[in-house]
Amino acid sequence: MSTDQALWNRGYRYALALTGDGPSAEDLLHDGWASALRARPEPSAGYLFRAIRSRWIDRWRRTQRVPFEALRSEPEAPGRGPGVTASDRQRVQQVLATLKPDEREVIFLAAVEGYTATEIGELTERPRGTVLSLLHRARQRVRNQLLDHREVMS
Amino acid sequence: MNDDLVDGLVADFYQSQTPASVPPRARSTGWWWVAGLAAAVLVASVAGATGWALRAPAPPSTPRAADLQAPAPDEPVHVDQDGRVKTVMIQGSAADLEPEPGPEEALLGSRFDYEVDWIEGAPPRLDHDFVVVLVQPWCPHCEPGVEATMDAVADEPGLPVMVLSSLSRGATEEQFQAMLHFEPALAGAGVISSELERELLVGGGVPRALLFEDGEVVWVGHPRHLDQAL
Repeated sequence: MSTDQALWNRGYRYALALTGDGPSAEDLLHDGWASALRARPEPSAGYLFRAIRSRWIDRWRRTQRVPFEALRSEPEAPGRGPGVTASDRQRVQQVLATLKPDEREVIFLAAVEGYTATEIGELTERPRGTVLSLLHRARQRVRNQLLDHREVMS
Repeated sequence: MNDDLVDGLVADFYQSQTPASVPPRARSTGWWWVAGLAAAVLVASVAGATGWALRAPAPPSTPRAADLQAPAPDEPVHVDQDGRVKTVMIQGSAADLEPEPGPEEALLGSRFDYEVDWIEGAPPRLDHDFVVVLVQPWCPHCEPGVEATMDAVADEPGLPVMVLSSLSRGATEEQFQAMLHFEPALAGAGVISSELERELLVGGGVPRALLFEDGEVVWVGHPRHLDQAL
């Protein structure tokens, strides 16, 4: 996979964490990508994320609303890790769709990108304490909903 | 279930998600604007020869951040603990560093005359209000985008909608027609040059809707948000 494609995919996942639905994420990614390229021929992931986030905020200000649409249904693929099944992934998708965008954003940056709370705070312009609080709340909501689901299933 | 397991499940989900599209262009060079300028000159010369005028949006008056990146040797450079450059003092005022207008802002107030190869319908009068939707037959979100546009203008009788495509990546007119179902409310559908499409997208992606009033672009965005502009 080329560097461009890898960065493109990372940008898409971040946009997906912000928007919560694939088509909007693609649209946001295109805009963020173009913006990042205009400023830097070789944008880093952090720079692309900032461009995407800036576009997201612009849109939010313009529309004065954040769409809370369900994540689109993806074709089921087998889970990658041991113990991760396709239905687990589908359930995680449903749970993530119930999180607020800022919760989804911080849990994405921590879990997928491996950012520290300080780094997330720098990117999202939030105090570290706020990030930790959001992250704790997001993890708790994911955990509780997944456990509730397991209890129902059993 | 500890935090690591939660994070692992979240990471697994996101890692399984991939975009339907690919990066729009290689970023191996900082000379993309030369290609844009050449395309603009080409379009302008063709437009002049054929009697069509194409008024492109004015270029941003402020210099780009990339143009200002190279510091003079005597300018202070701040380095963090890991030796990475954190901030570079550069010449110019704060106004010089304001971000460029995005695709939407760059198009607002622009006028375009269209050279369209109409495959259905008739062109609306270009000095009136109308909506343009840019699509590609290979784009999975474009057909819903056209439908969203038609829904948005349903309460706006007399507001014509034309769907335009440059038919890139080898797409055919038949595929274009198939995605439109020839909506009876469509004023027209046609094929435009990739240069004109680039002018209208300004780096953005498809589907994209543009609302024109008196021939001027007054709103640009995703077709699903068009109803908020009407």
